Amino acid sequence: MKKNVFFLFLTALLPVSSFAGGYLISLQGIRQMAMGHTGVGIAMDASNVFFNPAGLSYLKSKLAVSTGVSILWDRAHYQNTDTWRQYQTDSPTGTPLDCYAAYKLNDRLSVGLGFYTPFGSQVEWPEDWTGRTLVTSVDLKSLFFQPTVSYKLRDWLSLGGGLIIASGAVNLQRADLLAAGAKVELDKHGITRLGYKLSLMVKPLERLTLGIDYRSEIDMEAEGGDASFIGFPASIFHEPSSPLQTADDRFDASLPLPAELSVGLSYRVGQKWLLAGDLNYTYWSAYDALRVHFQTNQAASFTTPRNYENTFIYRLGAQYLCTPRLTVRLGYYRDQSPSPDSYWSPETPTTDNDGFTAGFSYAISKRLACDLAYLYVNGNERSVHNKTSAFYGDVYAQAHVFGLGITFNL
Amino acid sequence: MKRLWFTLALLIGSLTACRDSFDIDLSERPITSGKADFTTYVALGASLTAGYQDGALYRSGQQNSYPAIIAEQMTAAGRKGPFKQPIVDSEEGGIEVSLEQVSKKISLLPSSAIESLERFEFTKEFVQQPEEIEELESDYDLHIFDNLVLPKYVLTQGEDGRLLPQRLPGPGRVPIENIYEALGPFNNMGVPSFKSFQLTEEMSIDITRPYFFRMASASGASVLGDALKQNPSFFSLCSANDVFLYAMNGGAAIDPSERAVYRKGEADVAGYDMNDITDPGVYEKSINEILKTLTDTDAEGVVLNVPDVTRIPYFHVLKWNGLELTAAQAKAFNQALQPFNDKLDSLQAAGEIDDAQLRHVKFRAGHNPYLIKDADLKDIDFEVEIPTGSGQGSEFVELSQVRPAQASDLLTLKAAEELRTLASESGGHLPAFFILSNRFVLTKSERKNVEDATKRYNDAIRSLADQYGLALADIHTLLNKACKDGIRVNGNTYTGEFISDNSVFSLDGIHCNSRGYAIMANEVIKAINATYGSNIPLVDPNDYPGIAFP
Repeated sequence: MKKNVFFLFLTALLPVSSFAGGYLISLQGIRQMAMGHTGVGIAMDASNVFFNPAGLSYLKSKLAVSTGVSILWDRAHYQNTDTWRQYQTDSPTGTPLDCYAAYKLNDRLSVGLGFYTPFGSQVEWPEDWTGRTLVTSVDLKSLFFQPTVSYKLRDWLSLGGGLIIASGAVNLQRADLLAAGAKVELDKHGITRLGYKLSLMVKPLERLTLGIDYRSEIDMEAEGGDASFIGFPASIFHEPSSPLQTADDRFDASLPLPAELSVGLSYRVGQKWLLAGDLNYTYWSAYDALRVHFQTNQAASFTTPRNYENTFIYRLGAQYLCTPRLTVRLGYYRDQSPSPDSYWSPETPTTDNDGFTAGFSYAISKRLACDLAYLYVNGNERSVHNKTSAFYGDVYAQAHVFGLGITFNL
Repeated sequence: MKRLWFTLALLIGSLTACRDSFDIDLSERPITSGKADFTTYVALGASLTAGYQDGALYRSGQQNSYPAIIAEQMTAAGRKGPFKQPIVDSEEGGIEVSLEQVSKKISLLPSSAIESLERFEFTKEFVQQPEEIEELESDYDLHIFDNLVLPKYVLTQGEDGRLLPQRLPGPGRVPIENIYEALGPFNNMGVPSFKSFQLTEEMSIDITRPYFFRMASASGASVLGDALKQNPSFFSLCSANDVFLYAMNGGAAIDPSERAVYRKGEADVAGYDMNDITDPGVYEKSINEILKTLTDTDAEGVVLNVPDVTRIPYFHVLKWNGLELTAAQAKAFNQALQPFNDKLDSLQAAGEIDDAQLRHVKFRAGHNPYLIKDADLKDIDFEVEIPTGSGQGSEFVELSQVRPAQASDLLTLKAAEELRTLASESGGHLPAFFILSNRFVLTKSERKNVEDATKRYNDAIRSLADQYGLALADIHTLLNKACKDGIRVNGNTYTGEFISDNSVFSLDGIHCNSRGYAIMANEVIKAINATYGSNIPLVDPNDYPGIAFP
């Protein structure tokens, strides 16, 4: 029953585009997003379920709810340095949703719940583009459901943790040159895996808060997914020496959703300013290769090295209380691409990113606030040359994201 | 507060100023010809240049010839006008060479052409027996045109599911006629079967040269002359048949019972058999003449070197030891061949031969080497009686120059075809005993001739390209790389496999397919850009069709 609820939620979830390093998305809280997605060292609101569960027990309200939706447009651009042809992704507008709630059981103990989508990617390259034998379309979805608990040990120290129940779905398509219009489609949904989250928040000084948060790796294994060989000439399935023996096969693959260790701090300046800085370390090296094994067409199975490298994300944010009702926020982050130039592959068109953020909250009443955020991502141009697939060229990306959220405190 | 709004405004301003383009936007970079002038590009050569593939010239094959691909890319760099090719206007391809077809347009033909046709028909009339006529016709096919004018191969799927190339039946689809007046002059002067010295030779229009027949400006014209007439500002040249024809025919002459010869040091081409290897001196002289004549008119150009013919799939489909025998067959043959082995031993003892070991035949159950005729062996004038496959009776088989094949012998694709024909004639199974004649095998000594000539030709090409300041496209290395390691292009690996969506070769196992020609074109463009400082963009080979699967 619980499983079915996840799937319902999952199918209701609209696609999420990729514009961050790898297939990691940084849109887990509208207020935090406006501050460069800092938040590990802040007890902000219910979205601490994601940023730092230990902070939940520092929230002042009995019940805190925060929910947000982001609307994002992103585009990756590619040019081939030999043919001079240019292509860009035509990915549908994504609207990731997040929803968090926290409840204070007593002064020390709080519980929380979160639905959020930290990983996802939707990329559509033109059908006739240069890298079509690598990918024409990717749709990777994930939904994390996280029951959370936070315990305040001291006034200056609290702990937090959560169990992550992750659901995922993946659809990958690539063209095949065997015949015009031939393509391979891999599809698997209803993957469920478990993970966890552990965190700590410390207030060494009245004005200073420090936080540490760790999220475990979750390996999304797609076993027995549907592999369709569409538009292939029938003769190829009857040729005894052909690697392809059936048009409708099953595949096994796995995609690691990497672990992340984050440290953050925030500092109050006067009555109105809050400054924050986060550092995320993402264990991308877990993604060493994309392995796809076909159960019948075994000879067509492939392993392509990805050799992702662990990355740092540096985040800075500031919040200014203009009037009792209006809070303004600004931020910046720098996000490294985990993919080395020589293993870069267009199914995850990652670049080093500069993210510029701004936003504000307006308190409609004492309990209800509306949050707005804007994020511009400049995916720095890079020159890639994948030695294994001989895919090369220049790449850059851009994204615009508008976030709208509601925070409710009781 | 003011300060804050100012900061916000500044931030938003700097964001909108973000440039939405590449640092170096190639879509805006001008394409230039550098020191070269591509106004009129003419390509000289033979079948590779013509766009011959799948064993024929046909429309889309020619449209994807490497000169056509290069010309298309050169257009942005100043090439003018259409790039004209003598298109065989049929997707099935081939030329129909028959008197009936030609007689309708007889008044348009030069007398030499009519004579050659009449000779063919006349000879036919004098041969009374139907099988002799068949033989004569197949001789004409095989020897004069070397299957040059038949329709293309297509992949067909047998009962067992195997995909095999099979020629479309019947004669070539396009009647032979001279199309110079209607469609010429032709920028693509690639004439299938032509050798280096034939490119400079003034020759009559004759059906034994069917492709020149179609495209020549007049009887007595030459390829070089017709190229020159167009005042080319840029040319390409590729000549490989001087050694290819020898290799493809397993070192046999036009009359397959004769050997072809490596004519090293023999400058008189009049005495050459069509399959002989041209003297490297003659090759160098011919190439030099073409390059000198064209550069004298201030044309710039690119020369393609000679590929390593021994690496192409044509020589790697049939394995030297692919003969499958049952234990009973092996035993029966070994018994029947005992006198042969004994004879060899006695000849060796008498000092008449020294290679008895090489010739000994000992079959076993399973994989065995094919028996081949090796014209290098001393003729021992010997035959044995071999039981036929059916077990009924026996036949005499000539073993005078026969030995088992070795790993160093290359069996041709034609041998594989021959085996299939033999099998279909005897009801689906290979006849138990047969010998692959000389024309089906390139032996080690014949390979040496091929390698030596190829090396000398390529040395000559390199020094001549240097001498005239021309670009040199190393397709020798390129195709070897495809056959050895594979060439990776935008996610796809291209190889020298025979029938594969990844192969650069077409169904004839010799010529490239359109993707292969695109890869070749890129190599030529790279050489041009490097030599002349031009920046012609490359093509994406994946955009071109590979082998067509049914």
